[in-house]
Amino acid sequence: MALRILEYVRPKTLEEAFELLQNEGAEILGGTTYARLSSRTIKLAIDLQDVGISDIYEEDGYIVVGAMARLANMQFHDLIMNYANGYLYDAISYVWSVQLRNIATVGGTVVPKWGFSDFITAVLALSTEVEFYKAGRMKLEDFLENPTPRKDIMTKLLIKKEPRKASFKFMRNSVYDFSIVNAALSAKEEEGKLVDWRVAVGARPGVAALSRKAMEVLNEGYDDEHIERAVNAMKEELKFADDFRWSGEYRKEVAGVLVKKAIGEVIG
Amino acid sequence: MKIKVKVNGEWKEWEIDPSDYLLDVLRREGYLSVKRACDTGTCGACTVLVDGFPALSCSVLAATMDGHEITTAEGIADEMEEYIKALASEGAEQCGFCSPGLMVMVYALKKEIENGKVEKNEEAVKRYLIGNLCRCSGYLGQQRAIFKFLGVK
Amino acid sequence: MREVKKSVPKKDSYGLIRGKPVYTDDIAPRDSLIVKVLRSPHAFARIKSIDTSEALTMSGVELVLTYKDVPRKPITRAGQGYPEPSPYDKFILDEYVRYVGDEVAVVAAKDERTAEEALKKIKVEYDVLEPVLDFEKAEGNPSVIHPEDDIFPQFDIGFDPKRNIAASYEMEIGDVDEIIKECEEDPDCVVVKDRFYTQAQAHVMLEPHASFAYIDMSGRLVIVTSTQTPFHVRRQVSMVLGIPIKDIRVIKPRIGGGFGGKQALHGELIVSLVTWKTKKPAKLVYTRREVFEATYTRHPSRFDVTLAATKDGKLRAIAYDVLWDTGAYGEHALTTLMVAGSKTLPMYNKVDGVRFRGKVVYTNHVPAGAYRGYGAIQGNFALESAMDILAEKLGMDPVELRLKNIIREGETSPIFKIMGEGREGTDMIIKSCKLEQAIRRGAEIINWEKKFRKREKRGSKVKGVGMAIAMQGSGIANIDMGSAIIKLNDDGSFNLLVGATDLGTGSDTILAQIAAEVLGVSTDDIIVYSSDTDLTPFDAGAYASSTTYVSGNAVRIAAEKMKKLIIEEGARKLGLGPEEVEFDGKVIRAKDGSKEVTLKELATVRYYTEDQKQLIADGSFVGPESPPPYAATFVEVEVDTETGKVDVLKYVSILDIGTPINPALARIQAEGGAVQGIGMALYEDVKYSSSGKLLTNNLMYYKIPSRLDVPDIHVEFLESYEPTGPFGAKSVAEIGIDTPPAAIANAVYDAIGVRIKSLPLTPEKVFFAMKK
Ligand SMILES: Cc1cc2nc3c(=O)[nH]c(=O)nc-3n(C[C@H](O)[C@H](O)[C@H](O)COP(=O)(O)OP(=O)(O)OC[C@H]3O[C@@H](n4cnc5c(N)ncnc54)[C@H](O)[C@@H]3O)c2cc1C
Ligand code: FES
Ligand code: FES
Repeated sequence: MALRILEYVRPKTLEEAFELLQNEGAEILGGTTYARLSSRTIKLAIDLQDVGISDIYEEDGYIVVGAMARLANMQFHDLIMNYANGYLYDAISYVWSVQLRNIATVGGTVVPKWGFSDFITAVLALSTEVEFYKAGRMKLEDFLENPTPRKDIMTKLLIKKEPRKASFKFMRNSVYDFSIVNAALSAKEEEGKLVDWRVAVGARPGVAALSRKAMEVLNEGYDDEHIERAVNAMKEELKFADDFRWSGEYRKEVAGVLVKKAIGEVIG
Repeated sequence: MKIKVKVNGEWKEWEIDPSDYLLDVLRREGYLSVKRACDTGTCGACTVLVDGFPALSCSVLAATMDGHEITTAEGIADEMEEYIKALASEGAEQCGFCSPGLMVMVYALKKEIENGKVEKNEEAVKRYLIGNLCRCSGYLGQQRAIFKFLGVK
Repeated sequence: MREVKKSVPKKDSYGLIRGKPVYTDDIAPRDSLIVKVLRSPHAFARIKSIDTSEALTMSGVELVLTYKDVPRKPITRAGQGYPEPSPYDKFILDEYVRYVGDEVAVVAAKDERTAEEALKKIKVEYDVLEPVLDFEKAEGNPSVIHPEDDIFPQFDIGFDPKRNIAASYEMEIGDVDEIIKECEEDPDCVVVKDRFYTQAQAHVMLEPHASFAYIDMSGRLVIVTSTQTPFHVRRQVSMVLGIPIKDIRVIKPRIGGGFGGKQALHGELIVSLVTWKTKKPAKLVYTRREVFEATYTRHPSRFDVTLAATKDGKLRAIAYDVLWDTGAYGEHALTTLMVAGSKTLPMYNKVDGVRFRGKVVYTNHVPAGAYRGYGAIQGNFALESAMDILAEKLGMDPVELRLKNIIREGETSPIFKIMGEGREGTDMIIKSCKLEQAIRRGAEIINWEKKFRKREKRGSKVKGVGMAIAMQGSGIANIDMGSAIIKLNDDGSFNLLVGATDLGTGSDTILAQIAAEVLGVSTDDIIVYSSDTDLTPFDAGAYASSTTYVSGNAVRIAAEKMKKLIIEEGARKLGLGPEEVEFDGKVIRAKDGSKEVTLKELATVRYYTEDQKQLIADGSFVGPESPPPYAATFVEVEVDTETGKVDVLKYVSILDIGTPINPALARIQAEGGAVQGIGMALYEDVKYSSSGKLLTNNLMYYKIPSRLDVPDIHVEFLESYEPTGPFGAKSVAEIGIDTPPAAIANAVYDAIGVRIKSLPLTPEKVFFAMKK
C-alpha cells in the first residue's frame, strides 16, 4: 500500500517551513524516493525546494552542501570533483542509479540514518558536520550516535576542506545492489605523514560508525603490523549482524578485507 | 490540488491528489510510454526527464513537480529516429517494455556526453544506464545499438 | 533463401521503442472497475469468518467476492493442452489459503484508492494452521495442504494429495542398481553420488501480469490479457465460469515479456467474474510485489545424482532421484519434473541403464510453474555438475568425457519414447545434431587446453574455466498444435493470421519471414495479426520453444497452399494449365514467356470483376517429434578468494538451433537466455521468513543481472539443418538458459577447488565453502 499525503505545502522560507513542521503529523519531503516505499499517512507534507537550501558552495574552509541539493548535483559539483582526488564523486556514483541520484537529496539521505547507506559512510570518513535549523551544527558522528533532532530541519552538510587522502570500498554481489558492507577511510597529509585517520564502516547492516580503536592504531603508525592490528581492532569494536540477505559473520570478514584495501589505497 | 507542468513543451494544468506520484498522473493524462514495472525505484521503465535530467517518475511526488518541465518518450521519439533504427536493427527491443525508458536515458546520456559530463567509453555508458533493467535482451544488443548511435568505439 | 536467414527488424520495433500504447494496461477502457485482491498474510490457514459488509457499503465499491460468492469448481491454472497433466487443485477463491499471497477476497471499485481502502475494511478471522515450509519434510507431513476431496487429476499423474504429493513419476531402463553395484565393486569403474539444490527463480518479465474484461455489443465476454496462451485461457474461463466458449473472446495485445510466467491463468478468472457479474469493464494489474508473491516461480529442486562409468570414461548408468517443490498448487508440476529428465538424460545416450524417480510435493510456499528451461535447467545443473565431478575422479578432461558419451546425428535414445510431457513420448532419430562440433568450437574459443586447471592468480583473485552442454526440444510432439491462415489482399499483400503468441520474442516477424520465403515476396508484404480467439486460428500458445518449429511449420504449409492457389488462379486467368506457369512473388508468367499477369492484377480482378473469390489458405501442424537444439557453453570466471565473489569474465556459447530464421533475433534470444541463466547461477537468491513470507519480493532485494554484471558473451550458431523444421529451423527460446549454472559452478571449482552444489553461488556461500 502506498504513502498517503493529506496536504502538501511548499513554503518559501526556512522559518515558515520550521513553523509548519511543528504541526502534528507534519513531515519534511526531500526527494520523496524513500518515503515512497513506506505506507504511512503524512498529514502535512512540507516540500523544501523553495526555501533556498539547495546550493553548494565554499565557506570558511568548508564545502557546504545544502540539504536539498540532489546527490547528482553534489557529485558533479566542481568543489566535490576536485576534493580528495574526486573521492566523493566516485563514492556517490555507485549510489543506485542516475535517475535516483537526480532526485534523492542530501538531507533525505543523511537524516534517516539508513544502515545501508554508502553516502553516509563516505562522508563520515571525512571531517564532516551537519547543521539543523534549530539544533544547530554538530559533528556527523555525534549526529549519528545520538537521537535525531525531532521536528527539526537539516539545512547543510559541511565537509572540512583539508588535504585528505581517502578511499571508499564496498562489497556487492550484483553491482546494482545495496552494499553488503562498505568501508571508507581517510587520513590527513601533514608534512609528508598521514595523520588524523578516520575509519568508517557501514551496512553492518547498522548505520555507518567510526572505529575509534582502529583510528588510534593507525594514528600510531601504518606499517604492516599496525594495519593488521587496525583491521582486527575494527572487527572487534564494531558490531556486525545478520539481515535476511547476508550474515553478520560474512560482513565482518569482508569488512576486514575492505578496510585493509582502503588503508592500502590511502597510503598509496 | 492543482499543478502546472510543462510536458513535452506544452503547459498543462492538472488536478491531482497530493499523494499521487508523477507516474500515475502521467499515465492518467495519456502519456502511456511511461511504464510501471517495479514501483521501487529500480527498473527505470518509468524514466522521464525533469528539467532535462532523467528521473524516476514512480518515485517523485507529482505535487513537487508544480512549475517544472517534464519530457517523456513521446516528446523525444522524433529526435531519436536514428537511435530507434539502430536498436531495431539489432533486434534488441524484445518485449519493448523497457524501451521507452531506455530511450529517454540514451537521449539524456547523449547530452551529458556532449557537455563533457560523461565520458564517451563503454564503461561510462554502461554505468550511466545501470538503472535501466531489461530481462529479455541480456543488454548486449542494446549496447551494440547504443554504442553505434553514440559513436563509442 | 531471401527472406529467411535474414535479420529483418521486428515488425513492432518502431511502435514499441517509441512507447506506443499497446500493452494491456495501456488500452484498458478508462472507465474500468479497478480490481484488487485481498491476499493471505498466513502461509496456511482456514478462513473462519469473513465479513465484507463494511467494504460493500463504501461509496465507489461495486462488488466484493469471497469464496462464498464464486462457483466451486476445481481447475488447474496451467496453460497446457487439454486434458492437462496438472492436477485440478485450485479454486477461484477457497476457504483455505495455502501461502502468503493466496487470494482471500476480491474487490472491484471505481478507482484504485477506493479499492485499496475497501480491502482494509474486509474483516477476516483465520484459523491458522501449521504450514509446511521445508519441501524435504513435505511428504507425509501431518499438515495436509490439500485436504479437500473434490480435487483430482485428469489422468494418472501419481497424484496423492493426502501425502502432499502433487505428482510423481518413475522409469527405468536396464537394471541400474545392478550396474552401480557392479561398478562399485569393480576397480576399473568409478561411481559418483551427489546431491544438488536449485532455487525458486522468478521470471521478472518487466510487464507485470495484467488483464481486463468487458462485455461486447452482443453480450459476449471479451478478455484482453497479457498471456502466452489465449486459447487455453478461453477454454479455462469457459470451464470454470460455465460460459460457453462461443461467448468468450480472448485477445492478446503486445506482451511485456513472459518466459513461461504468463503460461497460466493469473487475473483472467477474476476480471471475467467481475465483468460477468457487473456487466462493466474491469481491470486487474498486478503490482510487482504481487508478481513476486502471488504468481509463480521456477520449481525449487533437490537432485540426487548417481553416475557410474568405466575408468576409460564410458558412462554406464545415470540415476536421478528428484524432489520437486511445487508450492501451494501443482501447475506444471509433473511436466517440469519429467523435462528435468527427458531434456537432459538423452544427451548421454550410450549408457546401459538409466533411472529417473521423482516426486513433486506441495508446500506452503509461492506456487511454482512454467519457466523458460522448464525443468531442464535444474536437471542440467545437477547432471553437468556431476559429470564434472566424475571427470575429476576419472582424472579425465571434462571435455573429453563429454565427447566420449554424447549423442550424435543418426542416433536415438530410448528416453524419447518413454518420457514425454506428462505421458509417453515419441520415438525419434536425431536428424540434426552438431553437439560435438559445438563442444570442440567452444573449447577452442575459450582456449580450454591452455586454461583448464591452470588456476592463474592475480592478487587475491583466481581464474578458472568450466563447461556444460545442454539440449531442449522444439514444441511438444504429438500434443500441441499450431495453425495459420493466409489471405491475399487486392494489392497483392497478404494477411497472416496466427494463434501463435508473440510475447516480445519477434515471432510475428519470424512467421512472416517464413511465409514470405515460401511465397517469394518481401516480409514487408506480410501483415501479421496474432492471437485473438475470434479472428485467428487455434494455437496452443507460446511455450516449450514451439513457435518457430510448430507454428512456423503451420505457416509454411499455409503459404505453400497459397502459392499453389495463386499459380492455379493465375494460370486460369492466362488460359493455361497450372503446370504451364510459374510465380516469382510478383508475376504469374507462362513458362514459355508468352504472357503474364501480376499478382496485383490477379488479386484485383478476382475481388472486383472476374470470377470473384477470396484467395485464402490455411495450415495446421502438430510436431511428429520435437527435435532438440543443443548448446555447449564454456565460461571463464575469476573468484576473489578474500570475499568469495565470482565474476564471469568470458562466456562462450555455441548453439545448434537448426537454421536461424532471423539471426539477429536468434542472437538476442541466446544472449538474453544466457543472462537469465547467469542470474540464476549467481544473483537471484530467494529468501523466506520463518513464517513463510517471501522476503525477496521486490527488485531491490531480488537481483536480476544489471548491465554491469553481464560478461563478455560470445554466441555462435553452427550451420545445421533440421529436415522436419521450416527451412531447417529448430528452436532457440530456451536452450540458451540451461547451461550457465553448471558451467559457472564447474569453473568455480576449476579456480578454487571448491564445489558449490546449491544455487545461487553467492559470495557468502563461496566464502564459507572455501573456509571449510
Ligand atoms: C531504490 C533505492 C535504492 C537506493 N540505493 C542506495 C544505495 O545503493 N546507496 C546509498 O547510499 N543510498 C541508496 N538509496 C538511498 C538514497 O540515496 C536516498 O538516501 C533516499 O532515496 C532518500 O532520498 P530523498 O531525498 O528522496 O528522501 P525522502 O524520501 O524525501 O526523505 C527521507 C526521510 O528524510 C526526511 N528528510 C528529508 N530531508 C530532510 C531535511 N532536510 N531535514 C529533515 N528531514 C529530512 C524525510 O522527512 C523522510 O523521513 C537508495 C534509495 C532507493 C529508493
Ligand atoms: S517503475 Fe519506476 S523504477 Fe521501476
Ligand atoms: S525488451 Fe523486454 S525488458 Fe527489455
